[in-house]
Amino acid sequence: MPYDQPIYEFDEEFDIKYYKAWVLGTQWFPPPQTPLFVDFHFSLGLYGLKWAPAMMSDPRTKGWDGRMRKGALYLSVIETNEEEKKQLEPIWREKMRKVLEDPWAVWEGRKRNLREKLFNFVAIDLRGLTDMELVDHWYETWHYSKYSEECHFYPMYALGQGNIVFRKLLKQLLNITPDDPIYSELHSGFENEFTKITEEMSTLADAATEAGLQEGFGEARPDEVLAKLATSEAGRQWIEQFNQFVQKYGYMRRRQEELCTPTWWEDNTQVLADIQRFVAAGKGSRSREVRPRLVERRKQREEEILAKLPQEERETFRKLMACSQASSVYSEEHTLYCETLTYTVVRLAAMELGRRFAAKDMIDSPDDVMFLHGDEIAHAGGVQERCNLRKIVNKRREEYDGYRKIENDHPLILGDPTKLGEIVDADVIFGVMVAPPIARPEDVGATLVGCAGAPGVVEGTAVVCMGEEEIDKVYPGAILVVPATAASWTPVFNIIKGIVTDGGGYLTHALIVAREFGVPAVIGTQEATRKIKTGQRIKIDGSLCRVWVMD
Amino acid sequence: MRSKELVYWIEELDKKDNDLVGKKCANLGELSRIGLRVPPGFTISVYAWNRFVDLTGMAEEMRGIFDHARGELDLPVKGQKVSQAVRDLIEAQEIPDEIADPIRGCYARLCEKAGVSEVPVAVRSAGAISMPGAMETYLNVTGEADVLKKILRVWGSAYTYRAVIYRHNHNMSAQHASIGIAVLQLVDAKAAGVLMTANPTSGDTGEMVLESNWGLGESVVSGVINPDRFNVGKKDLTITGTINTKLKKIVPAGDGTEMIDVPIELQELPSLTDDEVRQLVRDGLRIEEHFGGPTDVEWAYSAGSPFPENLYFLQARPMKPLPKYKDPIEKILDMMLGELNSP
Repeated sequence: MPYDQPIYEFDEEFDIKYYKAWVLGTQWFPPPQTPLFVDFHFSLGLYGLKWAPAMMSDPRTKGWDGRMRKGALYLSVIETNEEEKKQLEPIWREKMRKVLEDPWAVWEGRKRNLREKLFNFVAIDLRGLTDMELVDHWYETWHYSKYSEECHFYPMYALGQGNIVFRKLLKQLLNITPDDPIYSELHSGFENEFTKITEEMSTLADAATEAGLQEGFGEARPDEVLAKLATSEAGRQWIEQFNQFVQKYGYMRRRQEELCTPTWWEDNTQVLADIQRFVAAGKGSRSREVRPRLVERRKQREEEILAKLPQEERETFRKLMACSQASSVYSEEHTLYCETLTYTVVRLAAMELGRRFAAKDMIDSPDDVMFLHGDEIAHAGGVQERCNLRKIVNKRREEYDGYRKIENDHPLILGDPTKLGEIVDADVIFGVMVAPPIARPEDVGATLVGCAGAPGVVEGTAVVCMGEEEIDKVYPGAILVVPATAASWTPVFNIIKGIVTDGGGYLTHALIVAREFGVPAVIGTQEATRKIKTGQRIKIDGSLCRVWVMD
Repeated sequence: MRSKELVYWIEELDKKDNDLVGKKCANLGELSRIGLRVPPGFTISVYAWNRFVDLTGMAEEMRGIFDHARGELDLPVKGQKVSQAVRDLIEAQEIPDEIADPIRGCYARLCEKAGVSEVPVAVRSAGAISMPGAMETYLNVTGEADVLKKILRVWGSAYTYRAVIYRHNHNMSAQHASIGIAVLQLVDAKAAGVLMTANPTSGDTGEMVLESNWGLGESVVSGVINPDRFNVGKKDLTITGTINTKLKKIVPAGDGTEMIDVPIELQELPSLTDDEVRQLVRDGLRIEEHFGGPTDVEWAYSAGSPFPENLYFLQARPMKPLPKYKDPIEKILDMMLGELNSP
């Protein structure tokens, strides 16, 4: 029973009957999520995923549906029927025309609104609010999250199509496929907020090296690092810079897709660990080196390609390319606002409520608030004055612990795997998350084959991480093997030699960031974390999307 | 309907004369009527051809050849034998003076106007029914004797297997051709090519498409080289397009033409200046208006006189039906929905 919300439970018969296939949400799982996040994610996140295609009058899809199965999140696509398609098509054409006329505008306005409101939210001093003011704030964060999730997905449905059709046009006119370096080059060199943060982090690392402070960053634990640095003047100056950096970006959290993990404000050792890795790698920001080249190269490629096309095709191509590029940029940027900041705002409010509940003996520790649902928190704060929430919390904690114990045993696909291609084609966003591999490993003599890649061939030692909690296992020069990556993994791209993922499709985080950082990648192999073990020697070819285990 | 003559000067013709001299010739007359420059020339009428058949007594023999192959024209081997037999028959004839004299007279007049003793001409076929590419053209024909010889050949080309089969498949008498011939002074082309008064690929009627190369326009028409392409907006005359590397051109040589190398310094140079392009487009607008729709035009800029008096029009015919024009966004939307129907 998924945390007392049976409506979310996967029904082995009914859900296979009415949906072609269900895919494991590798972006979110493993590890399993806590009840508050599940409540939030289903009621607002998946809501946004239905709202957006409906607002676009998308003729193909009504969005995603979600279920929980043994603590894991599974997702599928809600396809339209023939009659719905016919009705929606002309309306969609009008809406889509406006998007194509100015694709960059779709995200810009929303980003401005979110930026303003969310930064105002995080600036509020929650401790200074009265109990009822805090409950009122809690309602507001949930209400604003509804808007945030709408902003989250609308541009995806508006712009994502452009990416897909652009891919097809490239193949048709110029025989260029997504695994071709030119494809990467056309979508690279756009600045996004996360790479800025990573660059600043890397600047701090360089500053430490220049000031001769590397030793302090040795193998010591993060808190020990600060203690060592505090013993010298140069070290104290560096700590000052570091604190300013954390003050500025402290809303970031290592694990995005959860509410129970702390922000950098609450725990700065996370980001200190990232900086330690940079110092150990001993070089400047890879992204900084690579970007100017990428911008220039992208512009060059754009011109070259346009010149190859017949006159009649150029305007169409240009418009589609703009849409595809805008889609790629939005895909990276929205994470900061619609996920990181939004969830941080909700977390901070939840934790303050948790502190007050704990002070009133309603729960044992503030973190227990993560085992309640959103409306229960509102009740416990705003309706009941003092009540014992322990029974609920303990029951759910037990369920959660049970999920954590299940071995990595959740199939990537439930239902009919051969239908994966169909649902990916029906829903643009699904293809962002997952796509069929381009070949079968046995046909090409490889251990694994992915659906997309960032160019380059490397050989090295694999490090398998089953989630952000294991991020500290990564060391410079390793080849990272993960179910998926998200924003908090971005700094790691600066030091790894290559990356392989289970999940992911054509616009996944790992793919976009790998390109930006010039790191070879193979995305969407479906089984990498099962077939590869930490310490094994592996070789990857990002252009061919193939992985070989050498041992 | 005017009295039937054997020959007509181009200026005497207009669109009513399709059946008289063939569509191509009639169109040349129309072009000259709207004040556009057409090379000096004359036409040999369909009546002249029919008269030729009568005077030589070929009709009987031709009937015999066709009857012999009745019902079997579709068989390529049989059909080609018929075609060859008829062509040999025609080319074995001598044009009777009744017909040859007026032709000689017109040719002499052309030479006089041009101020040379033997002016080079183009001898082009013009059917009453359009059969693009089915019949022949001879360029750089010089001297009365050669002109008459080529006229026989062009008459003969009405009986290529392709032309015969075309008539046969379109419910016409395979045996009877209605063929006119245009004899035009050959333009000493600096650059030549085609002009389409609408975009044939996109269907966009807001722009014209030009293709040009150095030398005679045949290199462009025949598609053997990669010409310069110009797209020109009709309203604002903005020019875009691609200048290609022009390696070969066709020039008069001997008693015909040959394809020679383009000098290195001209290969990457645009074969038309912007002014020359715009002049063509302006005239193209008049042609389109006069012919009442998108038109396919052959033209040449002569090396022999200054711009813009050196622009000659060699042919004009209606373009094939255009694809329905879609703006780029419509096309993209179609592509996106195409995903819906066939992933």
